[in-house]
Amino acid sequence: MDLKEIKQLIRLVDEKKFAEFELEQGDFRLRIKRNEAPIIQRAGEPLTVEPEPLPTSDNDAEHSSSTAVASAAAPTVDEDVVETDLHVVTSPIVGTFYRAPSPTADPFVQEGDWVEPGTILCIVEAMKIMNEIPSDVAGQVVEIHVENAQPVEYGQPLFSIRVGRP
Amino acid sequence: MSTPAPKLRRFNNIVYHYASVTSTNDVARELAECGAGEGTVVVAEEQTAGRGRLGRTWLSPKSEGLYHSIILRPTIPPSDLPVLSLVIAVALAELVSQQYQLTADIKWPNDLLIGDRKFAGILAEAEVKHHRLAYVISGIGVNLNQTSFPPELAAEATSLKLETGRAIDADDFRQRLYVQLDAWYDLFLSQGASDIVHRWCQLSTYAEDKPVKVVTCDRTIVGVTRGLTPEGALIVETPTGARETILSGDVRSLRKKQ
Repeated sequence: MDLKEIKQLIRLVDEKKFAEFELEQGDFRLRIKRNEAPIIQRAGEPLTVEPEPLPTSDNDAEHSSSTAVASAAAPTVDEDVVETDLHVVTSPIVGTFYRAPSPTADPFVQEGDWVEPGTILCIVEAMKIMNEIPSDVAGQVVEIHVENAQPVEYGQPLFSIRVGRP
Repeated sequence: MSTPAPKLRRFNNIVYHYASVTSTNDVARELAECGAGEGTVVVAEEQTAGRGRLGRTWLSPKSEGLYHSIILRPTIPPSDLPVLSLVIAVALAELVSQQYQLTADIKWPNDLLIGDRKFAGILAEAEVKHHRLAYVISGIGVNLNQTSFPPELAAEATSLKLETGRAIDADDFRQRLYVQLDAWYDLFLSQGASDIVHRWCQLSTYAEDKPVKVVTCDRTIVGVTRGLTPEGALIVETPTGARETILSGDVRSLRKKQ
């Protein structure tokens, strides 16, 4: 297997959003792990939850020699993966945060609730436009960071969800 | 009506017409989730659970008003979306002023008034997935032919029939609204907020020097309006001279003391 083929595999793993990929051919073993966005919270800074794309530059393939790869018995593509299964949902806009569709209704979710991708978590209102925010992931709501009917900033953490299934 | 039927581009190509629904926004949302395209319209003769902001009701008696929702899929960042509230209000105000020779006022952000009485309201609900705008449901309720309102609304509500003295055809009104909306929505998508905010300020008595009380989620602000921010938020100057920027809240006009 040459470098070009490995790069194609990396690209495939990234595009298909595989979490991990392993290939064994005789003595050759390749393990590619997709670096899901580490969730690091810094005060006053919007959180990013977009996955970092893996390197896919074609130029690299031209400059590298295939012998270098052959000497590496197990070329893992592990980046600095922060081991966390916590997913933070942030506010996409500046507005007012509501946990329920109306003041008398039950909240969309409570801490401890299990949610699916698409489950509505809250509404953020700006100028009478009600923005419904669904969960991106399946998991358990472990923390709700904002009180009902409070102003929120762009990128402010709203929910922490531990990714997984009950 | 003397003017010919207007030509429509974006809206009204696909119309779902119902005798009765809970809320046209609910039906439109289901359609949008199934992939219904921009400009798809849901119209109902009556709503059994017409909604306003924060779960308030919008009274929707059979065949007396226009109750409809439009699916929009603007390719803009969610942060640019709030101005859409003003886009719809401007389109409604211009239609009513031009077509029915009434002076329509706009109470920030998008309540349509004649004098102090409301005749149309807008409730927009957006779906933001992965920080991207998936779609917006714009629910627009217009009091057309009501001749009376329940006691609790009588002092605050009016209809176009009460104001003009003649019956208004709901379909005709809707078609004309789409012509206005098409033009203003195009401008919004191509040029952004500035022309919309400018026109809103020309049409609304709430833009400048209006004594108001604003109830937001966490406080009440009393002051005088001082225009809109470039993003369409309302600026209110309090008696201490401080300027507050309102992004969401209920605005009420306070009469100046004589």
